[in-house]
Amino acid sequence: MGTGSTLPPVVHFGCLEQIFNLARANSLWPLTFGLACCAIEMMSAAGPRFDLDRFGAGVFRATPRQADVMIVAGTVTAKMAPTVVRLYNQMPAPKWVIAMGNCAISGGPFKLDFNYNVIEGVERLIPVDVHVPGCPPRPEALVEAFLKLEEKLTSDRRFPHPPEIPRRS
Amino acid sequence: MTDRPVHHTGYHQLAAQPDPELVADGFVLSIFLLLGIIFALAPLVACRLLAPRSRNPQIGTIYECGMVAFGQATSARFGVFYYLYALIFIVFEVDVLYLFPIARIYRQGVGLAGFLEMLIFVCILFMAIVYAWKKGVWIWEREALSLR
Repeated sequence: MGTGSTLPPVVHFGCLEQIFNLARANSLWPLTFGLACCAIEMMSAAGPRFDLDRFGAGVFRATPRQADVMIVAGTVTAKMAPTVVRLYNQMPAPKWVIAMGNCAISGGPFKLDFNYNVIEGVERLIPVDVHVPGCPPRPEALVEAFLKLEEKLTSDRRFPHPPEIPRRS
Repeated sequence: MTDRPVHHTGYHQLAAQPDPELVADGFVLSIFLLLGIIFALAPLVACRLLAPRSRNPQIGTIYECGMVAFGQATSARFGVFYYLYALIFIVFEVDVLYLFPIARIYRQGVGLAGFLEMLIFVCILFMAIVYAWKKGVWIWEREALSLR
């Protein structure tokens, strides 16, 4: 189920809802919407090497009417904030938000004393479902964000966890 | 069909005992109609009931990349030269529409009368073409069309 201004359905069938959520989780269509350098990584994630299409999430829609997921990829400034909110409001009901990168999470490296117009995280404007840390996060991190979103929808992870990265101490 | 007794009955008696085949046909047809209406309406109703809704004043606003749309869609102006071509097309279409059946049975003998009728019909339609010709439809110049 989406968050924010979304109202639940009038009639609620548990089993049907599970089927719907399975369908939604495997066809998360993002909005074509990039704010800053994280958008480059987002494009890379949609490209052939990282291939978001494998998870049904590569269909970037050119209108919020057809989009399910808003990837806030970049710094949200005070000038851009009303636009972000309007785009979120124009999306139809089951909708989710991925805050990609440190800027979208907390303002990131641009939140300095003299940068008066940087919003400290998009969560101050719209409800966020998945946060992806990184500056910018790698495309794999965005893929993982979509897997997390699928997990949130179906409470089940269809794809295996990535192997642990050995760290030097 | 042949051994069915033929009743010479009045209109009222016929109305009182309708043909059972007709009734069955009407029944099937009404079921089809009803199913068609249900088939069209059911997805709309199901969508209303089963889908989560998003309620805010901006949900139905015009999408302009997140900006507020201004002006009216009707304020844009565009040339309407093509409507003349549409009219001419209709002239030729009507021509073809009625000449095809005549051409189909022409060899079977429509006679001189049929030929003359066809000629009158074509002449009347040809007047529309002459009229458009006079108006300068065949000249693809904006001035010729706008200064009419």
